[in-house]
This record gives sequence, C-alpha cells and structure tokens, in this order.
Amino acid sequence: MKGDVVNDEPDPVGAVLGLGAVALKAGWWASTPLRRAGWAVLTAAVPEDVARRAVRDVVTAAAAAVLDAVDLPKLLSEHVDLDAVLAEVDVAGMVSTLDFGDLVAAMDLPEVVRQSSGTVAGEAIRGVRGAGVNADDAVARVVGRVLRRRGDRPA
Amino acid sequence: MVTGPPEGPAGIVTRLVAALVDAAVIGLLTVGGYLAVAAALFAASPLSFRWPAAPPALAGGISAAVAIVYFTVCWATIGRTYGAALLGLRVLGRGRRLGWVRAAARALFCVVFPIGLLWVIVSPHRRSVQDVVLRTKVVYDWRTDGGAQVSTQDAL
Repeated sequence: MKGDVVNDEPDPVGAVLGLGAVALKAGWWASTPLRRAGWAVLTAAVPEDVARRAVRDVVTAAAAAVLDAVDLPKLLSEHVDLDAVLAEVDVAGMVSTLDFGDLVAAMDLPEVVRQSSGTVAGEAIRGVRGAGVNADDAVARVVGRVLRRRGDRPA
Repeated sequence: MVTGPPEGPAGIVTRLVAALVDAAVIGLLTVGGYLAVAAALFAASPLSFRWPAAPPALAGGISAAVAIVYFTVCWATIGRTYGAALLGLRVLGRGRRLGWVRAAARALFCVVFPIGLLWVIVSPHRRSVQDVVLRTKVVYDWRTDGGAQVSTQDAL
C-alpha cells in the first residue's frame, strides 16, 4: 500500500539543521571556559557603578532619541478623537458615586485636628507645669534654708 | 527636673501663676458681661444709646462678684479654676472636692483677702491663710477630671 511505503530518501535540510544544532551545542560547550574567563575579566575590569552608569546613559539617550523623534501630541491629535473620548466620560456620574460624607467621616478630621493641636498644646502645658513645680521647690528650698527647715517638700 | 506628675501640696509659684491666669479670666468675663449689657441697651434703644458708665466702686463690686461666682462654681463643680487646670492644681477639702458652702466661703475670703496666698511661702504645709482657716489645701494634680493621666494629647 502506498501509505506504508517508507520514504528512504535523505532529507538534506533536516541533515543540515541537525548538524548545525550539534555544532552549536559543541561550540557552546567548548567555549564555556573562555566565556567564563571573559566575563570574569570584564566584571573585574569594569566597576559595577561604571557599568550601571553606562547602561543608564545608554537607556536615557535611547529614550530621549525616541521621544525626540516622536511628536506625541501630533500623533494623538491625528489618531485619537479626544473630544469623543471625553464626551463618553461621565464625570458628573463619577462624582455623584462618591459619598463625600463617608469620605470625611472616614478621615475623622476633628480627631486629626485635635491630635495635632492637642499634642503641641499638651507638651507646652506639661512644660509650664514642670517649670512651675521646679520653681515651687526652688522657693521652698530657699525659704527652708532661711528658716532652717529640713526636707524639701512637705508630704 | 520633674520627671513625672508631682504629688503633694502646691507651692507659691504655681499658685500665684494660676491666680494671675484666673485674674485674666475674670477680667475677660467682666468685659464680656459689660459688652453684653451694652449690646442689650443698644438693641433696646439704638438712637439714645450711650456706653454704660458705672462708678468705680460699682465696677469693682461687679468684678468682685464675678470673681466670687467664678471661683465658687469652679471649685464646687470640678475642683479647679481655669488657671489651676492650666498649672495642674486642684483644690481639696478633706481629700475631696469642696462643697458649695465652703467653696463660696473660700471664694469670698480669697477675693477680700488675696494677700493671704503669700502665707504659702512660709507655711510648712504650703497652706494659704484661706487654707488654714477653712481647712482646705491645693495639691498638684496633673490628671484630667476624668481621672486619666495627663498625656501629650490633653489640652488641659
């Protein structure tokens, strides 16, 4: 039967591709020590920050060149109908979905204001009180020395 | 240096500063009352309005009355005036807040004889003349009225 006939003819394309793959594999394997040595020399010779800077400069220059070459506003105006896009955006609807009452309640503004102002006021008041107590004790010590009393502060 | 909330009777400096703050509060209350009376007079008859003028004795009497009411209400209700709250002081009688009668008597005594406060300087227990006579004392109390410790978030 025709379907059972085995095609014994050599496939030249397949043979070339197979040989090429074997040669590539062999070359890759054979060059491993060389590649490793080259990479070691490269990393030893070029400091990392220099390499990074070089890559960054190249990327920046490439990006600048691309941006210079492309006139983005012109492209947009030619290919995109911004008016139509904006007309489809329901800004009023989006705003109406926001519940500003909930938003303000979630922020708890009075608490924020109270904490920020209360912290400053509390520290100032503690300072005033502490200074007052120290002054009280200082006066008591002076008076105690004059009156020859013992002890700093009465219990 | 004070490292924590102090305890015990308060000295002359804190009490004097608290008294000065209270004097300012009383002055503001008096001026506010005067302006309220003037506004009422103006509303009653705008055309014939003149700033009300009281003789010095009457003005002094009104200020003294305002002070007595202010001290009495503050001491009998929360145990401290605004100045005392600012300086972290509290007025006590037998370890408790003053009753209305004793608060009123102390207020009257303080207004009539304010110099009695200076006895705190030489008193071994830091008591003013009013404290000695009425058996009251003024102590350091940095806590709020709810009993919570004064923190950095407490305004008073």
